Amino acid sequence: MKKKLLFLLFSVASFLTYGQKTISGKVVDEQNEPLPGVSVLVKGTSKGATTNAQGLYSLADVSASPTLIFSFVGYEKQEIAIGNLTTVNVTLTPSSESLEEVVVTALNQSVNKKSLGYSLQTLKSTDITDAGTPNIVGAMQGKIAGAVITSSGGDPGGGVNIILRGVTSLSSGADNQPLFVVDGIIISNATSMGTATPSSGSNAVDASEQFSNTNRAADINPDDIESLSVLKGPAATALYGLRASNGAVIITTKRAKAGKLNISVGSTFGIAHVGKSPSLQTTYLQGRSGEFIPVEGSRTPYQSFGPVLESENTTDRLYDNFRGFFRTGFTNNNNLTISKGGEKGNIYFSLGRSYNAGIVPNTDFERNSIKLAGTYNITSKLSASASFNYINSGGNRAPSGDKSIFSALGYWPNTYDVNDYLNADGSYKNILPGFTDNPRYLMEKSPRVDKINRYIGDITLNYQINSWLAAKYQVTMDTFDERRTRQVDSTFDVGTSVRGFLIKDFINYREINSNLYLTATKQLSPDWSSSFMVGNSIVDSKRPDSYWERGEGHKAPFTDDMSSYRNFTSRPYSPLHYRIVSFFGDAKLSYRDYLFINVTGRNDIVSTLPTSNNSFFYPSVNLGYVFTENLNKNNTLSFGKLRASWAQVGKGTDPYVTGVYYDVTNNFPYGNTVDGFIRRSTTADPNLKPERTSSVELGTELRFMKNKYSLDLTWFSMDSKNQIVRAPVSNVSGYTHYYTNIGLIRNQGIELLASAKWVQTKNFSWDMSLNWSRLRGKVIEMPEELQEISYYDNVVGSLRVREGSRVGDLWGYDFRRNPAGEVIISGTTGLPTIDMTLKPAGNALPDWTAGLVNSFSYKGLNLSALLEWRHGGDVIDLGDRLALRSGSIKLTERRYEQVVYKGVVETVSADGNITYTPNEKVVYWNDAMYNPSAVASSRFNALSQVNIQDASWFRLRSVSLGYALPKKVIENTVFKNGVRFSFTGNNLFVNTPFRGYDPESLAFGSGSNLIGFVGRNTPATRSFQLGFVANF
Amino acid sequence: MKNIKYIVTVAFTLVLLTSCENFLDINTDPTLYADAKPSELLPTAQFFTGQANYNQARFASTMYAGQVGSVLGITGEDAYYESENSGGWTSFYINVLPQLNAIIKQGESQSIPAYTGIAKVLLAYNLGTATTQWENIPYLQADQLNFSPEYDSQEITYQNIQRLLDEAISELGQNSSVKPAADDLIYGGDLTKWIKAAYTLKARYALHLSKKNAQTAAQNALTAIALGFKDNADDFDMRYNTKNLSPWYSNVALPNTTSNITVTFASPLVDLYNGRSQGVVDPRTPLVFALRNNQTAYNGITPGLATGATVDFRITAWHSNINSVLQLSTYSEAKAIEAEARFILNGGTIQSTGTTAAAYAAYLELIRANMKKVGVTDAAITTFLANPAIGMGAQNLTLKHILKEKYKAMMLNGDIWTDLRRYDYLDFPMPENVNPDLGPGRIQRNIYPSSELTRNRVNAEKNTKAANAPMWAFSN
Repeated sequence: MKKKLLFLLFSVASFLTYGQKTISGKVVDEQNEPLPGVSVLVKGTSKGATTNAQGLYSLADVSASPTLIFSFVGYEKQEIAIGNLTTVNVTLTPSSESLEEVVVTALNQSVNKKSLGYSLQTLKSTDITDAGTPNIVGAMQGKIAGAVITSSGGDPGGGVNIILRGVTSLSSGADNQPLFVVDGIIISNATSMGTATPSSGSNAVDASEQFSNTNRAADINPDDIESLSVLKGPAATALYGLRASNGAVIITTKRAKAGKLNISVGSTFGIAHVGKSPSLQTTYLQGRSGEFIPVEGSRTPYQSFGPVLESENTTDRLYDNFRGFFRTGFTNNNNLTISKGGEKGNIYFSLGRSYNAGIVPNTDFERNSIKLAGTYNITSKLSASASFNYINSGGNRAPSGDKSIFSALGYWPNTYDVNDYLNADGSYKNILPGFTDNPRYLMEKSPRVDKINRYIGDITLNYQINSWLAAKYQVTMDTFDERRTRQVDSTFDVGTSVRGFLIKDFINYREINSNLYLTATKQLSPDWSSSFMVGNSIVDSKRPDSYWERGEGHKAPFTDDMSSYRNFTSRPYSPLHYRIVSFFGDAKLSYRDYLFINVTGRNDIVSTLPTSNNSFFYPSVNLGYVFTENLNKNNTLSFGKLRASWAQVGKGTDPYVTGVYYDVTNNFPYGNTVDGFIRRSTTADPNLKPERTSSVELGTELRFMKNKYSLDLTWFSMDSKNQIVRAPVSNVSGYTHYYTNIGLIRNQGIELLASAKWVQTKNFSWDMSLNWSRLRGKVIEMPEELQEISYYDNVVGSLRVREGSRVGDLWGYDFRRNPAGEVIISGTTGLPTIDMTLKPAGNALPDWTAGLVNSFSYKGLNLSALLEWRHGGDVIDLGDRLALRSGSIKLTERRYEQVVYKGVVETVSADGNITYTPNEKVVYWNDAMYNPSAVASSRFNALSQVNIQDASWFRLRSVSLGYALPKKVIENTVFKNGVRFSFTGNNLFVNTPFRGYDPESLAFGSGSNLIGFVGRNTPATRSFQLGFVANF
Repeated sequence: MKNIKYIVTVAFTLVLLTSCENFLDINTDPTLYADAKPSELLPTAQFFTGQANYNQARFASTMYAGQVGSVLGITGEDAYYESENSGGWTSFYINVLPQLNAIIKQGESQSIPAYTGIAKVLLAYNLGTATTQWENIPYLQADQLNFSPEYDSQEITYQNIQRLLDEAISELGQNSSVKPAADDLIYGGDLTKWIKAAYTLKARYALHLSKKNAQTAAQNALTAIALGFKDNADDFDMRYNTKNLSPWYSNVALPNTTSNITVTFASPLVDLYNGRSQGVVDPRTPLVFALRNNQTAYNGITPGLATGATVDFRITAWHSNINSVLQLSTYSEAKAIEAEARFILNGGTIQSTGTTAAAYAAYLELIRANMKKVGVTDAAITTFLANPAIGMGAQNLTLKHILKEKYKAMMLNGDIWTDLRRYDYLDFPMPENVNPDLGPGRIQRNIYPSSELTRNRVNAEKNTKAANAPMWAFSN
């Protein structure tokens, strides 16, 4: 460690030079606002300086009468021969063609986009607020090439999953989500599952399946965001190190502009209703085999294979419960910001409240946030800034796993209105007692209630040590406490085997980061300029004092308190404490403003790996070359750049995976008295090594016809080696899972961004931008002892990988077929036979995705529409399977007819010869065809052709219309700084071959690797929002 | 300048902090434990031994044996579709074996033979439960972090069972500084009962090999059973409570109360009670079966048909109420073993009739003991035993009589399937809609769980045999 510091001091010393005279001054813009960061260079030398926050600069030891060059991105370069002057103040004017876009990169460095050797995409504040979704990750949908962003449905506060450049970690529990950084503060975007479930019964499965839990980035108020950078590959994130090995989303929030007091008030109101819904059969009433089943009898009328609903039948009717269950959702967002800047600093304050009543009755999500941020210039060289953000969020969540509202809805016969759930005396009315609960009752009486208090803050010190050397220290904190409660009292079917249960989760989170940076900027020669940075960061993250409580056996008095339960259990959640200590360095060199070289190195030391392997170094190098600078100026190709990079990122593992532990046996103490312990069923290779992802990225950025058209193309290949996998192993070993390093996954992809300014006149403009990407992930190597990894198995399909298979492959069952590929029909039953070996039958990841934005503006009016495509990508609809079995969907409408299956009958002769003859056996199609338990051998219900559906879609993701009041109208009112009205519509149109609800609703919620399953969460909504922002 | 000092100080503090290895030495989960005592591991192992018994019965053996049938469809284990019983497999290797091995290891190093002895009895029982379902099973290479463990042959497994029981008997007889008490959920620390259980299990697993050599098997069984259970109070029963619910109650009978019916009793079993097979109605019938609403006659489901039942598992029946014990091995079984062993040693075979008075007395005691346990009145027992169909006299007794009464007394105990395989399924009818892939004969084994076929493929495939191929133990 000390050696590193010495090296640092050494490199600092090498910058020191000596001269004759000192020149100082101030650089301002046209509004007379100081411009920090302006490069001031003595022409013909390597001497230079940068302006500070007040726009001041100072150059010592300059020769007698030099020429100074002032340059700053976005402004015209100025050269001034100063003669004998010692004070030179300069006003820079914005460059007419602003090619020089400043972007925020890793560790919040502001960099000229021109100099980057890798691809990076940014979004502006309006891109986010106009999306009309309170979740910032949701607001990114359709706008980022190379990102697969999928929501877990239309539940208020429901999680949104984001994967940048594919799945790089194979374990089912692995987090492939990018790192979220707000103003240098690493914030948690985790989707905490909680594991508390009843000790037995059909609800005793992983809680992840139960709720569309919120991804915690949703706590960030979108109205606070100024801009957002998406760093996709290792080249962009190498400086962030292991925690950004899946990419990073860098958010910069709004700060006050110097000199002005700005008060802004905004409000939006919106409604939402369920989007696409499954088509229903409209011919048959409830029943089985054509017979109507009396509700009060011993049989359960959950199937709709009853008699035909004749036109003369006036007592019965069919309900569309798949729509009727839902109500109109409502959203309201209110926001107030006050900001003020001045010589001594600036301050920003915001208050935000977002309320969202979901389309599922009794669901809601609310978020209240307060943010205070400011900078104080203590001296001209030292400034301190701090921010504090308090968020209070939470709401009522729909139970959404097995035997919960969506399975109940899938089973509900459409002969009955699902909303008819109470008897006249207010007691529970269930027509399917013992089979499932009424979903309305479930939702009204048993929502999962969650509440979050979250605090995010930082303190930052900036010190300009001298003209070329600056130091920055930032300490950040992100902490929240979450409380979740769900009661399933003894009136519910789901609690049967434990006689009702009450579960409470107490989850706390706390992370502290300490970051120190030293940055040196230096003009090395007239042609070469440079910037060096070294730093240290320390992370301490844990989930302290978290636990769950569970009561089982509901008893009198029947309250919603723990005391109303016979058996009480409480267990701690693992604190998942880890620390990371890192050292990093970054060197940037540029030659004549057209050749850019950037080298980085980072060394992480982690607490989670064995000491012998816990320190690891990884480098990156990237190159940007603006080749048009070496060509004759021409208007056809106005700008051209090539990019190339090579980078590596290392990755550690979860806390506590190594070693042997004993835990309290589930549902012990036995009889509440006898303690029992059990050995934990996972352990790890004692020599676990860090995971490494290496990437090569090549790209180009081209602009044509005076920048009217632009094209940005990127190709990349990423190899993830030494994957740390929680490998399922032979249980005979004494363990179910073993953390070990295995295999090689290769992700390759192409990302394309194109834009065109079709029309640009004084009053009217039309811009268009397109993003398109395709990605392929393949498992290149698997170890001998592990042939496959199965993430999730379901009766109808399985998400698993083997050597050579694509990431995201869904496996399912096909018909048995003869060598010619014909379906083999059973000679005795006349039904097709099913091959019981799993075969790849689809892939959950899309073939390609694209987004197209068209923006029009006419005077104060602007209109923008986002079209989004997802081509390919298969899913298994867990809800559809239930509706298929119970006969409520369109697919089951074909029944009661004689059919002959197309296929062949297999005959095996005594000497073993197999012959195939065409099938001629007539079979009668009845409800048994759709019911898996009646004729299991036909398994129509389990066939991959039925269950694994193409979930491609094309949608009008959003349309937004904004109108800003003309300056003339408002300049003499209090709203003189602008008033803008907006109208946004989301998901206005969806076109998909998929049968069910909108296929965009992950069954397992966000933050899970279990992709490709839908149908157990609140479906996606179509929504409309009206809003205004007024600036005083 | 002050500020520079401040920053430098901060930087140095950080460097010093990080150079300290302790800063990163936090990778120990404080909510878990590095170790557990034998008294904390024993209840876990016993609880999951109960689960092994339940899984064996519910998901395989009693279905193959015609005691239980599926109401969900015609492709259940009752129609000889192979069961994986993956829950039973996983429970043994994950929930039972590591805990028992830890008890044995600690028991040996701390000289507490009471614990090692009990652990070995439980281990022998679990190995017996497993090998009779899958034949060759891993044990010698199990629980050793070996991810491609080889399987032991069934012959070796039976040797291991007997060796473990012999060691257990010796250890249970030694002085032990620490003895289990409340942590022994089965016998509450009564080591003499554990010794009886060990002898009874020795007899059970000896008699399993009757097809290999009837006389040797019978002699070994008779020798051991002399020191086995002496009355119902000795029974090897797992006990439950209102928190840890009895498995047939919580998994089958309780869901039945809300119409989530999965299985019910099958006709080969019910017919032995309702008089159809024996010509006399067994007084245990209303105690062990519950009639469905509006039913008066006791009928079981026809195996492979998924229909025909008038009875269900109910929360009022003897085996599936909230207070039901899980019978791992009983005095009644011990008497059945004795009766069969004596019958064979007297030169009897499955075809022969007549035996000794001692064998006949054991046969009557097998019935009487179970009836008493189930709660039949003495008068009803006397009447039943006096019926010539039951109390036929020593000279008329056949092995079938013994085996069928044993079949009833061991209702819902998976080990009953071994008797059927030893005697080629006696005169039990073939199920309807028999699994067409089975081939000739009857079901003889479970298939290895798919987790083994994907995670330990080479060894699982090497030991896989056809579903109708008799196991080593049940072939000549």
